Amino acid sequence: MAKRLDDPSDPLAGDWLWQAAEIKEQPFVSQVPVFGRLVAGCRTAWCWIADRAYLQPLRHGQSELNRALLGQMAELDQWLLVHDRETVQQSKDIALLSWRLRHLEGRLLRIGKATDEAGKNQGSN
Amino acid sequence: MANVTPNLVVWPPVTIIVLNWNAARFLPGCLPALLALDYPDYRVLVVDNASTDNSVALVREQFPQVELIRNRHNHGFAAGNNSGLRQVQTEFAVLVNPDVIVPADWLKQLLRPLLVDETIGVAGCKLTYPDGTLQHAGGSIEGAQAFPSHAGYQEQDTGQHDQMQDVIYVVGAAMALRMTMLERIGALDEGYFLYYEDVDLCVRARRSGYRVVYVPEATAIHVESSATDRRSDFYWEQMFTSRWRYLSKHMESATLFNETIAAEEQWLQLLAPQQRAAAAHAYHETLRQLPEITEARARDGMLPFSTSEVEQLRSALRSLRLAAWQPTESALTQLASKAVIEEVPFRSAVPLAGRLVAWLRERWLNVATRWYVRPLLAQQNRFNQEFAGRLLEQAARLHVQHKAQADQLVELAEVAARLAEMERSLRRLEARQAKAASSPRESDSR
Repeated sequence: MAKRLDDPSDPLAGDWLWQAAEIKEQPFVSQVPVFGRLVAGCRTAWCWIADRAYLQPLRHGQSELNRALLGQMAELDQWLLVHDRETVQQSKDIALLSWRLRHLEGRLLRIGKATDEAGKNQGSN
Repeated sequence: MANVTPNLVVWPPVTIIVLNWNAARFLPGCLPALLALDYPDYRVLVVDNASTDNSVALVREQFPQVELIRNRHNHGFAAGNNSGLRQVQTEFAVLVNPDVIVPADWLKQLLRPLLVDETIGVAGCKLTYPDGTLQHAGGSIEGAQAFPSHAGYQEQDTGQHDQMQDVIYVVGAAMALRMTMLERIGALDEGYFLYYEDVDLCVRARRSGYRVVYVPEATAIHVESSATDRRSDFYWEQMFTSRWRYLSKHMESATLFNETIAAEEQWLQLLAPQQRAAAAHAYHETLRQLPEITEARARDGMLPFSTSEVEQLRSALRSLRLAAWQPTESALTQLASKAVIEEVPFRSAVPLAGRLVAWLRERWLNVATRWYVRPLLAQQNRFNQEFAGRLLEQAARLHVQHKAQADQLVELAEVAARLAEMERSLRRLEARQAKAASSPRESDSR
């Protein structure tokens, strides 16, 4: 039943945000005329040999953390929604209780008056 | 069951109630099938629960032979169907959801057992999905948490559920009801907005000595979930809130306090965040409605809760509500402690020279890349930690509010209960006063 916290299908986080959480490699593009492709190919190959092995785990680690943070934010959002609705409901309940209390006071007053009148009537008899 | 030759049966008039809420897309499948039933005397009543789609216009224009009741508000499945049931003057009523499609012989098949045996109060159908897979062949309620279960669910129908039998409940999507039973036990409990109202009715029927039967000869297609998206917050909130109303109304207090609450606590830890939030909402709603639910429990034939049991239930619901929050806080605390990205040392898979390759790479990284990346990584890590920390702070603040709200709710429920008690006392006082006021006049007139 449980779903992963970083489930991208979570409706509370927009798809774009989940996509942005994944840090993606961008291919090198050279503006050099004629030899541009060759330059780009050499750079990419160099990157593979020299740096990629070092940077890939950092990229994955950050992407994973981004997703986990998003998951937690979505979860807090969910709780805030519940909390907001409950606060509204509680306000309505308090209003209803106040109304019942006023109504009760009115009835008590009427009973008091009736008792007083009955007392007076008994006295006059 | 006694045998009845179909030709000798006198089919009584029947009222079919179709409760509709924004189901215009299903009505053109449901209503023509109902209007084409092979049955001598029946009326079809569509109760519209304040739809905002074109259901009402569609019924008026395309199905003028159908009677229409329009409710001004949507007060849920039970209240909607009850407004239809109040119009019934026939011996039997049949509830049908708008996403149900029935064959021509369905009504006769469904009613036959009710005509033969007067102790049968409720009869339900064999429901299938549109692809023929079984959906419901009688239902039961399982365990201390009262989870619903359907016989045959998602099975291929090979006749394995073709015996009529007594069941714990049948679903309200298509059920026949004996009206004299409803007069005795009351109609659907309007305290349920959606789900479990059918279970509640069947439980009350059985408690009053009526049989609840599954009738496999009466088959129907149920598209299901026309009213709710099963992934939505609304679905889970309704499901859990209704389950807790049912538990509080019908569970023996020993089971409720000794088994249900402990099982619920464990179960909460397995749920996805969306479901945990929905469960917290359900505990909140149960807590709010507890005075009314405890009255309904006594009214519907269960041993009423004692004052201390009500107190215990209040406290348990409050604890469960906080327990539903717990995994969120734990996950955040864990995340905040791990919000650092670390370098991974290079390892070479090259045989023999692997260590040398790794050493050379490391040296190369020190010279060429690391001096550049490390400050960037340190900055990113500071940001990560700060961000996770802030999120944790927000969660802690929300938790404080969540707890305070639970406390307020308990207090509010206590005030409501005391107010209700005062109202009852006042009513008694008013009655006594009215009696006292009339008795001197009576003696005067003598």
